[in-house]
Amino acid sequence: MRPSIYHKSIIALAMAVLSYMSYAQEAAPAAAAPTAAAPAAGQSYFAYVLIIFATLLLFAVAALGQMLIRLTEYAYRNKGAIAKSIVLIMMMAATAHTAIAQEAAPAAAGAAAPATTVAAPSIFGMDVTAAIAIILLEALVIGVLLIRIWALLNTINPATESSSKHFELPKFLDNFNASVAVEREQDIMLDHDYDGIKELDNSLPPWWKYGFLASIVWAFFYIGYYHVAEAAPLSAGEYANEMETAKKAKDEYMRTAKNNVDENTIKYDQAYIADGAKIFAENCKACHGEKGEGGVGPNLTDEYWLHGGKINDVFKTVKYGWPANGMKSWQTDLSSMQIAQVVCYVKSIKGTNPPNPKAPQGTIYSEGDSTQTAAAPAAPVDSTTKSN
Amino acid sequence: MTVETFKYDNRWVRNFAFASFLWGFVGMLVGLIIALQLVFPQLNFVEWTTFGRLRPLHTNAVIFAFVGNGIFMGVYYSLQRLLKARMWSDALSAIHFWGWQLIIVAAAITLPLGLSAGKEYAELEWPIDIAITLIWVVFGINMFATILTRRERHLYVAIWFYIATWITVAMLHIVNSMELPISAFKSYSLYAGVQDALVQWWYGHNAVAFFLTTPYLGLMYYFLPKAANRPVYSYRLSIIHFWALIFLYIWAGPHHLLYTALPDWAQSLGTVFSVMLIAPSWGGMINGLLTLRGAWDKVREDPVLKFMVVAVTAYGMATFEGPLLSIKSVNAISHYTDWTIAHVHVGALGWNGFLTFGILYWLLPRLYNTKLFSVRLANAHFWLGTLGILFYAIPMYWGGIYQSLMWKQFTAEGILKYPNFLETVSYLRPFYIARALGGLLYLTGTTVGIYNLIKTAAQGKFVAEEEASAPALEKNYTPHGTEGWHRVIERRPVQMLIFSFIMVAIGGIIEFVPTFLIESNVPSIASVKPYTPLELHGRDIYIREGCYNCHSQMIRPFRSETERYGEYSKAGEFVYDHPFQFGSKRTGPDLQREGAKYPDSWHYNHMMDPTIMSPGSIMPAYPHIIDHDLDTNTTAAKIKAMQMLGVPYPKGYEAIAGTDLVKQETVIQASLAKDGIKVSKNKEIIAVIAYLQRLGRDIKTNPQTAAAQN
Repeated sequence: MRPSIYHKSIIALAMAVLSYMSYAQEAAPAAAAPTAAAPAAGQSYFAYVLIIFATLLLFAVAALGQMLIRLTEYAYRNKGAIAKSIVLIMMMAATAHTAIAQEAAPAAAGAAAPATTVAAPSIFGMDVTAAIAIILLEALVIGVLLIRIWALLNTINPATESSSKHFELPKFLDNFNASVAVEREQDIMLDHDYDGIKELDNSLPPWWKYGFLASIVWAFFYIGYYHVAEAAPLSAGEYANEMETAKKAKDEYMRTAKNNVDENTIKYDQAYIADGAKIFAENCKACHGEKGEGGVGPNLTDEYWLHGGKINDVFKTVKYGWPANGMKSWQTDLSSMQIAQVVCYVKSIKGTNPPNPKAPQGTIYSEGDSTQTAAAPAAPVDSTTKSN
Repeated sequence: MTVETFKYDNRWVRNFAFASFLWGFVGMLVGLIIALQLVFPQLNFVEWTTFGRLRPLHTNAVIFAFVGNGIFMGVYYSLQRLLKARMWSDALSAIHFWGWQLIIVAAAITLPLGLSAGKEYAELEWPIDIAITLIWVVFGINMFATILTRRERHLYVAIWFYIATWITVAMLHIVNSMELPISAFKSYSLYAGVQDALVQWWYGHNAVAFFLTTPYLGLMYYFLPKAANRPVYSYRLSIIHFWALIFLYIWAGPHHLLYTALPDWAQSLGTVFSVMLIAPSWGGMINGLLTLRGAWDKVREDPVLKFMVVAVTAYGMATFEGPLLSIKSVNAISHYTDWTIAHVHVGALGWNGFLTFGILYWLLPRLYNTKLFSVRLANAHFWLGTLGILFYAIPMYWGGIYQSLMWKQFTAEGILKYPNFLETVSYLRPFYIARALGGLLYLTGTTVGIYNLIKTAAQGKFVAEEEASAPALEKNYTPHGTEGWHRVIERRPVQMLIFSFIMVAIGGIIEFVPTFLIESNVPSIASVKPYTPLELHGRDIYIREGCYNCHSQMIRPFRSETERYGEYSKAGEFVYDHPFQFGSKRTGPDLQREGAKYPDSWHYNHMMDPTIMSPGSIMPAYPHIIDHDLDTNTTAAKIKAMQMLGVPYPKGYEAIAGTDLVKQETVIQASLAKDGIKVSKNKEIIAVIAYLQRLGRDIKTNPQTAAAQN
């Protein structure tokens, strides 16, 4: 019996989607670090888009559900025998839906929970992952409904008796589009004939016509809102707001954060070296060599330093960079803790004498020599140069 | 009323058909190669086959060779039959066909050689641009003369679309290709920076509109009702959606430049006109799909209709998604990512590809007076193609959105979560593999289709001249009964041409004139200076290599971008950029503030082999830039051309530019030597380093200016 095949395949599909969702939650960078707090601004845009999409899908679900009910009624009225099996299908589908919903609910809740606990700027307390989960569920329901409708159409179409292959769009679409029925199309056939092509003169589908008008009204509203009333900021203003919000959040975080170091408070710490080595391998070895022997950048294992060898100066060099000499600023790439770790690692490799060392550059610095600080302060901090 | 007999000319229809699918195969094959290059960078092989040179070849081949020949095939077939007239001149038909194929061959040779004007979908250099214009005029004369000598009083909707296509493409191509030649194959765009960008995307967007959409809507209006043998759903809808579509489309170009340095008012116009385009676009889809009312049982059986239904549906999806992507908050995520790539491929593979093959399967058996060789193979093609589209689009959507979110994510400490751009590229690798698989499926389908079509041709007998008869038009026409206003225009092709032109000219004029004439739209920045001669050479190498295919030079005003790249881009920074190099995709990071970020030696090593400095990089290696000598014969010509375009080099500077160039070369050579790299100073790499180190520094060195701009 065909319905049972559908039923099985729906359940298989649902399980596949669910397992994929849980995989996605682990793999997805957004979901992997719910504790790492504030999702990016882009993510909240994205959540908006997803919510709009989810709402649209909800309408589609409602419309299809309505259609299914009507079709079922129609089938019930016309063919008692078939209707019985349809009712059976509906019941089976209902159980499937419940099962899916039960399985999916914890998944969605699980995705939403971290977002609410960190009070992230998500929308209606909903995380992107949760929105995606809802959309997938809706898509699933739509799929189920479509398959069901398809099956019903196949069973109840009057043409099935003569030809099993006849298929026609449901009649309610004619109402929806305000079209003249195919059987009466001669009434609106125009008298022209272009190489055998005739034209009907159906009126404009109302939803199309009013949708078009609505988009025009919206266009005037949009231009008026942004450019006449100037009720919302444009690009530059949006950017200023975004930066201000971010600064507040960062200050707030820094006020309460532990492990907060800067160029004044950095102390050499043996415990940082292991993490520092990893950071070095990821970010520094391209220029300074695998073992710090130098390459594009200077040798870091000798006693010579271009910008001061004191741990505070090294910290400054990494943080602000020396753009004129090719050392970029790392403060937008590494946290202050990470800078501290990599600085400690760099200090730890002095005198390791790796192979192929680059010739010394700069002046000698020996540990404990407090007079030898860098001659000039590192690069100035302002909005333009800090991210060189 | 005398009935005249005449013959339809099928020869050029057949030739365009074969050209379409053969070039289509080539274009898709190049597409597959560049898709694989993003996974296996070693497939870049030699300098002529690097991604930056092949990607323009792919886009030009599928747009102008595959779809272009497809348009001419459909127009030459349907126009004759809809007008009851043979094409006006066999000679012009021949010139049109062979001229167009020569242009394609010229493109296939010059693009891998790196002869590029540096503007997307308009890369071809000025001699080819002129050839395109001439051949397009030949096509126009042939079409219009046929229309004027017709035996059918009124023009069918398909022909309205052909007319609008012809006049608009002519306008777009001529305005966007305005360039100043400095040698046989090198020229500079007359426009600079933001203005060049506005013209380019007015062109780029409307190339989609008037090369990939309106002519294909015309084809749909002929071939779909013919294949389904059903009347067109609504004549009224045809009228409204035709005029609304051509009028609104032309305004929407700025949606390619949202959040860029383009003035905000122009961006907003791009957004609202894109959203207003949904309904007119869907008008075409509705009219296509509802024409199939009463024929849906045929759709199940007939591969021609299957292809057409998917094509029209893909058209509807792409034209709904397009406006969605034009909303600023969505564009903030989608722009520069593979989401856009997915979007255009739904249009190209679905709408253009499937409609072309639907038409071919209908047309070839008729041209050869036979049946389709194999319906089963056509069905196989259909499923391979459909699966190919899905395998292509879904991974690109997914990967594009996720990469964008990775770019935008911050940690609690307020630093980028993925500061290393490469990390987000490496994440895409599985998606790129899946995409290449999708492309392979689609190409396999195409190959099956070509086999089927060639076998069909082989089993039939070509009907070169098809006899037909119709009464000549009477001189004095009196409409019977009351005639609607549109019926009047339909029998006056010249008026239709003029009205179409007025409709499509309005949007461009309203957007261009203020951007070019009103100072405040591109505020000047005092510290922005012209490029040095060496940097100018380096910039031309950047354009030659097609770096803009993967690297943007346009930092948007988002925290995630200013933290990653530096101060966001200002309109005044680009005033000497002929052509602009904003880019539209970030396969690699933005380069707008690349200057002084890394030492010279970093760039040298990185160009020799990107994986030295960035392990895991998918950028091609450029050893040839290190080997080649810089051609300094053109230095004076370049400076003079720039002066003519208004770049303020001192008077007579071209005479001493060469000396300055050598001076700057020596400085860079010395800086490389300091890091142990020995290179003679007249190598191209020196110029490229000079250019890259200059990028974005004019306002970096003087932050006050930037602040004053805000």
